Amino acid sequence: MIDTENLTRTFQNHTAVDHLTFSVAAGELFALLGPNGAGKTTTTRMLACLIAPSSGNAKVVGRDIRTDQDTIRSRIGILTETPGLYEKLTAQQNLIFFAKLYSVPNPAEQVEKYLKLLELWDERDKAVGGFSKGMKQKMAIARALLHEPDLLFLDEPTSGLDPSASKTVRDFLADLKARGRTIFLTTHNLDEAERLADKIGVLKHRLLAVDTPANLRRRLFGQVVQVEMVNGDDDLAVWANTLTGVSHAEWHLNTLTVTVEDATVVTPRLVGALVTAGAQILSVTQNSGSLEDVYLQLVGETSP
Amino acid sequence: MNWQRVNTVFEKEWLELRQNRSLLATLIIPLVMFLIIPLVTAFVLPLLLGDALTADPDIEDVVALLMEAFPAFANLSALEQFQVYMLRQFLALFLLSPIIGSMGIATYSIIGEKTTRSLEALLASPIRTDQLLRAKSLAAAIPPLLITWFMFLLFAAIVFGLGGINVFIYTMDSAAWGMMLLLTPLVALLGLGLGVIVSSRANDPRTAQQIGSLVILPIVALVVGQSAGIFLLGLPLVIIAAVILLLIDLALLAIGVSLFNRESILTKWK
Repeated sequence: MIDTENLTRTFQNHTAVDHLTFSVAAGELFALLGPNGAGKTTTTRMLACLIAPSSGNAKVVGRDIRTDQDTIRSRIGILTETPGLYEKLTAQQNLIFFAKLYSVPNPAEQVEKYLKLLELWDERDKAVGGFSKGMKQKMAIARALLHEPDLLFLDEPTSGLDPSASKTVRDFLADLKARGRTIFLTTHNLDEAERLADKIGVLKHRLLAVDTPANLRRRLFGQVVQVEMVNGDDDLAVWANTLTGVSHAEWHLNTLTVTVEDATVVTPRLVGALVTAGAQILSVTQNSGSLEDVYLQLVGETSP
Repeated sequence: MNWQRVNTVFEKEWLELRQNRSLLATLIIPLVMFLIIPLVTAFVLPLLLGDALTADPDIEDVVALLMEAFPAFANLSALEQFQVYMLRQFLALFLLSPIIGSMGIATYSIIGEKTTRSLEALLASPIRTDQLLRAKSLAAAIPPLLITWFMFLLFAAIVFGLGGINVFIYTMDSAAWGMMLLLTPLVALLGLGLGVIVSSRANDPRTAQQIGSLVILPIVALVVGQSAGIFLLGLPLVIIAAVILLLIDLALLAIGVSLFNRESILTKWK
């Protein structure tokens, strides 16, 4: 659905996005993570044919962003950084306007469908200037979906919303994902990305990493196996460090913490060897670094 | 050209304009004033002040110009000559409304979209920027033009009704109709072009209008020059003004079109 190749955008002497190469498959929710000013909005704008790349290229919904802009714009939906609604117009007038712009066959029916879906139908005749932030964001989501786009771009969809409104928006996105929509999400909300995304890209002008959340954690931190025991001492850590597939082991408070490359291979061997050596095991748990750890490590490494 | 999208934006602009009472007031109130002031001056003041008005030396200068242009003007009564003089002075004021109106609507529309950040969603839609500019231009130019023409026709009807055929003929001559048909669309375009250009830099419609208001100075000069007897607004002068305005409009619209593209709006407009 999206294929970029060395996509680059410079503004005068500043490179906002540098040689971006990634792809998003149909039905996938791709989250682009990055700090403020990392180039997330610039990337979205290039892919949505709002601004042109300085070099490189991309295909969106199978079309070239340099030559098929009109077709791409008609087949994507976009939630911009701010809702950007016409405040003096009613909810219905706002959406009917956009439905007509996208040549939706039955604008009134489609507007009714999305106003009901987003629980705004009762507010349809009220000017959106009086709406809360959450309601405005829901309006903007409805606007992005009116023409049933093949691909949805969401730029910071929960930014500035209170927890309750954020949850409503997140639940709606999860529902969209479950229905097979392809979604390109930019956010700096790590929890949101982890909960929703099939694949995550970490951007700081350059794409620092792109993979599934689980693979990102594994790649950067390996996996950690913790074995809690009744007996044991520091010698166990020394011994564990000699095992194949173990990158680090330490003993602390009756717990042997072992960082391994592949827990599915190493854990059975480790536990078997410990039992054979007479260890009395209380529990074995497996975990890996959080997405926040991954993000901070990646972004931190590139900090000036 | 997909006119359906142009119509859609035009309808939306019209809907917003109808709900913007202060903007509507700035369109209509000046025109009502331009209608009332000349009529009161020409038809009510003589009733109150009598012959004192017609003896003014400035009036004599203009009457002399009118006699030179129209020899039969001498056959009109002193009162009729005074009325024609007065009514003609204010005709050029009808040019102010399309210029102020189109610039006001264009700046409110574009700056309004900038401040509510609605332009990005609009630009992300399939509408092309030339369609968007066309729709906004029509929405900014048509209402002030129609209102001006309606008020001018009303003015003509009242002149005929209160002044009679002689006053009507010498007031509503070819220069007056030429001004309405040729100059009002061109000044509306002038206001529009300036509105688009100023809106690309300003973030407040009032600032934009203050900058743009300088453009009314030539029209004020036209009114003052005529009332001082320096020249008489005739059809040749109207045609010369139309040609000059057309050239200025084309230059302004070319600048406006170059500023009004997705890339500039999203990355350069402040």
